[in-house]
Amino acid sequence: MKLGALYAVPVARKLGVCRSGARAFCLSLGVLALSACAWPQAPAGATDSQGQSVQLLLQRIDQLEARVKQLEAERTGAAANATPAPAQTTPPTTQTAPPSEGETEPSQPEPAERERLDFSKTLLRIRGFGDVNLRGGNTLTGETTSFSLGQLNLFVTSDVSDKFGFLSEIVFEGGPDNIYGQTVGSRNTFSVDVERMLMRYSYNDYFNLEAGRFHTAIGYYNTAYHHSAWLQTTTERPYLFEFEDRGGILPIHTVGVSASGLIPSGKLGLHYVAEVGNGRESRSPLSEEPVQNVVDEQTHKAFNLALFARPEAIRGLQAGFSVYHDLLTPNGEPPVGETILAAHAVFIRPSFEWLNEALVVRHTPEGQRRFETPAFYTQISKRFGSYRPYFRYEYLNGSAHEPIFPDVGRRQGPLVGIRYDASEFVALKLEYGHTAIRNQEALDALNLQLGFTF
Amino acid sequence: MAVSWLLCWGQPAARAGGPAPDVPNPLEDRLAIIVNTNNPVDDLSLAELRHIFLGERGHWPNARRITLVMMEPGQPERKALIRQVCQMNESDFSRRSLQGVYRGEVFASPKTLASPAGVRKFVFNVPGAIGYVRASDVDSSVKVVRVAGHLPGDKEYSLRIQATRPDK
Amino acid sequence: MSASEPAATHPVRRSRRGALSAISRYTYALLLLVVFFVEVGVGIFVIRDVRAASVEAQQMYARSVLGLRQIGELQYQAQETRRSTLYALTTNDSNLQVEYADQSREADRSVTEGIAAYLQEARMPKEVEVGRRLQQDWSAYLKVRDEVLASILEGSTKEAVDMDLSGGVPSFERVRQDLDEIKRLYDEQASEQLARVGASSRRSVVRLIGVLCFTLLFATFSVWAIQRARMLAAVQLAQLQMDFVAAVSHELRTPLAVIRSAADNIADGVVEGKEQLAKYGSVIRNQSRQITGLVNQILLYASTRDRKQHYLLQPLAVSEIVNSVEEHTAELARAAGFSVETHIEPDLPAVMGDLAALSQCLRNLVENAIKYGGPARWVGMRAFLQEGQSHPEVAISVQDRGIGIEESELPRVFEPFYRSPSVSAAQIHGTGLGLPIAKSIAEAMGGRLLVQSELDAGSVFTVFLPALTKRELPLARKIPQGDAVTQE
Repeated sequence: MKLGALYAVPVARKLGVCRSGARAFCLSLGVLALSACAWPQAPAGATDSQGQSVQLLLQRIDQLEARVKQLEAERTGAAANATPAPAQTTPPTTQTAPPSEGETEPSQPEPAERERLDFSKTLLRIRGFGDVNLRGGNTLTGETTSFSLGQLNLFVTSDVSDKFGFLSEIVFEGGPDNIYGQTVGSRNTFSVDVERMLMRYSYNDYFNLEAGRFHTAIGYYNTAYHHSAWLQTTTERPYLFEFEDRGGILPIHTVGVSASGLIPSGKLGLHYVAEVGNGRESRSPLSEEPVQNVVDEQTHKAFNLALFARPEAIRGLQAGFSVYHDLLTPNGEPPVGETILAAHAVFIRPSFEWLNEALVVRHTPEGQRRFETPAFYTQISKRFGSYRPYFRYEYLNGSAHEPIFPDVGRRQGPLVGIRYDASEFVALKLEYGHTAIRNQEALDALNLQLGFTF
Repeated sequence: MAVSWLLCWGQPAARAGGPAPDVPNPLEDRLAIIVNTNNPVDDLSLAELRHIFLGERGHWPNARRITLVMMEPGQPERKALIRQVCQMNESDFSRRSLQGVYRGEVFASPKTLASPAGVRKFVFNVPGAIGYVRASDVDSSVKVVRVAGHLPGDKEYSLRIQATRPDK
Repeated sequence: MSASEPAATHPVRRSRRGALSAISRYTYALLLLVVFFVEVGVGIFVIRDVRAASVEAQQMYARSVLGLRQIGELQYQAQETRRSTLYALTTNDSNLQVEYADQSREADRSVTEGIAAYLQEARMPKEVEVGRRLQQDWSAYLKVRDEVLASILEGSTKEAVDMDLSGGVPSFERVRQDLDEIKRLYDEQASEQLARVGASSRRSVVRLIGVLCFTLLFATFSVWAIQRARMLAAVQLAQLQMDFVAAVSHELRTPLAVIRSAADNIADGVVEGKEQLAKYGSVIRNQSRQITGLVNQILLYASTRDRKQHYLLQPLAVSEIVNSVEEHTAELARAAGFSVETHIEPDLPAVMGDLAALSQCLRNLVENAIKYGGPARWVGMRAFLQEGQSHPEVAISVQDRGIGIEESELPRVFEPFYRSPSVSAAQIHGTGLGLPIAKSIAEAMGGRLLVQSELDAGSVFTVFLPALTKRELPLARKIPQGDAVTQE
């Protein structure tokens, strides 16, 4: 081998190394280039995943909104079908459960109108009063011993708004009616009367306005006990506060407007009542409804003004008086001016009561003398545990020539009884009354009454 | 031993001597009359309270309707109010309330809540509400009314609850 | 060991030439350095872009995605506020009514706090405007809601219903629209930020691809250039080696031809008489010595490349070295007609070295001075003491007044087998090994060999050896050739 060839071999070897190294390097370049092309995938992929997350969240929000709307729609629909509210004083037992969790996904959102509240909702409250009697002896209703259904009184109220309220008393009672001595209707039949129906507006404690049919504010008893036998201590009302369709001498009911409220008087506690209404029917003989519910027989209106005090110094005391005036026009008779003056002083505590009322009914027919019919009663009772014995004496003296109610005559007499409160809302009363009537046989009556509220 | 001593060091001394005695809250037996914080009334006499809780008053001086908030029958707070303010028992109170509504003197029946927290929340939500809770149950969401010029913390405060709080 | 330092006739030209030679020598390293810095620079931009894109993506998530979640929660709680109020209407139980009122208030608290948080984070005027409007509408709705709740709790249902219809529904509708608008704003922001992130990502990718392509291209070119340079160097080395072989062959051929001719003549009987025979014998002897010297030089060079070469280091007097050189080169100088002038400074300290090696080293320098000494026929040898950078040095210089060395060739004179083209052209024979051998020996002794030359004026080759102090006079020891010499 030539010397030059020896030296050429390393050079050739080096050239070969150079070529193979270049090939390897080019290969690595290709790998790097491919990896560089793949590099944009990572950030783009990351960006795409973030965008997908945003979209998913937006979809979820839309689903939640739709579900809320559906739940509200279901709730308003369920509430529209709910029954009316229960009675008034006891805590209502009806409870409406809120919508449960874990419901399925909603389908479509409800329109916005369904979110509004239901107009048909009311808060009508109905309370009832009733009584069942066992009467013995000779009473105004007869001489037989009879079980007797008293009045079934549905007392309905409703809070129309913050200032307005509705009140009505619908009474079912058995007949017949006795209207100024005239027997109307058949016995043992029931009739229904709207004894009270009024809309009340209460601005504040000093001004309240009622319109409708209400109990005339004559005396105390009429506006205190109304048609509830359970509320009153005795089984029956005093003579002078008997209802018109039971032979009463007073205009117990008035259809008109009544304003009432406090009079700023400090601890004296003065109240006022001012009423104007149709007054009583005065056609004679009167055989129809004595209360002028729809049409007044005359344009002249009856007025009543009452004042009473409830002094704070003597808790439970109420004393007051009232003046009522109307013009009656009985058939074929001259007009009769009617004035009723009443005064009362009652002392009522939870365990003791003493009621005293006196009034005089003045009827002055035109061109004639004045007829006065005085009446009073006094009633006292005291509670001993669940028992409350009571005593009442009452007096009523009407003239035989009284132009409006000549048949009343003079009635007087005591009654004594005992009341047992079997429960908070049920009372049992046993009462004996003796009534002396002028020119008639005295009446003795024994009455057992079960009075209740529900 | 040293580790256990260290662990026990600093523990309350009551661990050795038994449980610590409960410190009685002086306001626990006081009945506080509470109204909404926006109510302008700050002071009521016992007679005025009686009129309010018997429904003989229907409106506050700002013409806002009075909404009575009572606790459920049987609660000592309710008993204390009926006895000391209305001066009657539960059945008389029910009868009187019913009579007031029947007469048309009382516009709306009282609301009945089950717990002092419920009474507080009701009074907080209703501007014309008035209720009662134990003085120790009062918080800043409601306003306490002076009764005859006295607050529940005063010695002369007259409304006391005699029955103990029922176990929860 | 440092390479020979080129000499220049002018300091400025010397520095420029030095810089250029350094640049040419380190071209590839400089190129790689430039590429490195370019890569770093672009890489910084790319990293910055990537980081900015990452930060923007995080901000987008924090602002838009979390914001949408926040708005969704606000919408739910607002609905909850209203729903709880409506539920209170469905019951007469005051306890439940109070419970629902509580739920409604708790939900409205969440909404109020959420609106406040949104206003705090709002930056754009549109966001602030919508946020404030929402706050006002929500406050208006809450006023109606409070009245509705109070009426419900008081029992005035109809009044509550009327109030809600007249005031609650429209105000709640406004709240709902405000929330929808906020959600729309978040959607728009999310879309914009997504677009920005995408653009930034694309920009980064393009830059990265550009950088990679540039890097790859440049790396390819660099590798090609380096491989090519190596190949050229190898080719050049091979060429040098071929030249050496040719030179050696030529050097050997001439004496061999003379020897063969003389032998032929003797064998042919041309030579008659003892005188002619003695003459032919003398020729054969001289040529044989020349061949032997050449072979020895080749072997000596090979031995200097052999790291296992051992030197006998001992303290040597400078005069001893110079005398040895004089002795070995006297005949050569006389034959060439050169005068050798020697000057040794008095009281020079001893040096550590191998006498034979140092003598060989200086002999090579003297032989070169004679070979390239030109018509001046003068060689000067001088020994003197010089202060080195950290240690005094003994310098022994060999000077001639010959043809000199071109400045561009100075860095190459110590390369093995290198011979200047001008020398070859002048037919001055040599192997190109003398100076590499001398340099190798000087470095093995712990010294250095420097050259200064000027064309047509001559050259000075100086060997610098560390001077021994009296304290450092060592014991003689052997050290391998190529290792750093340490003085004990």
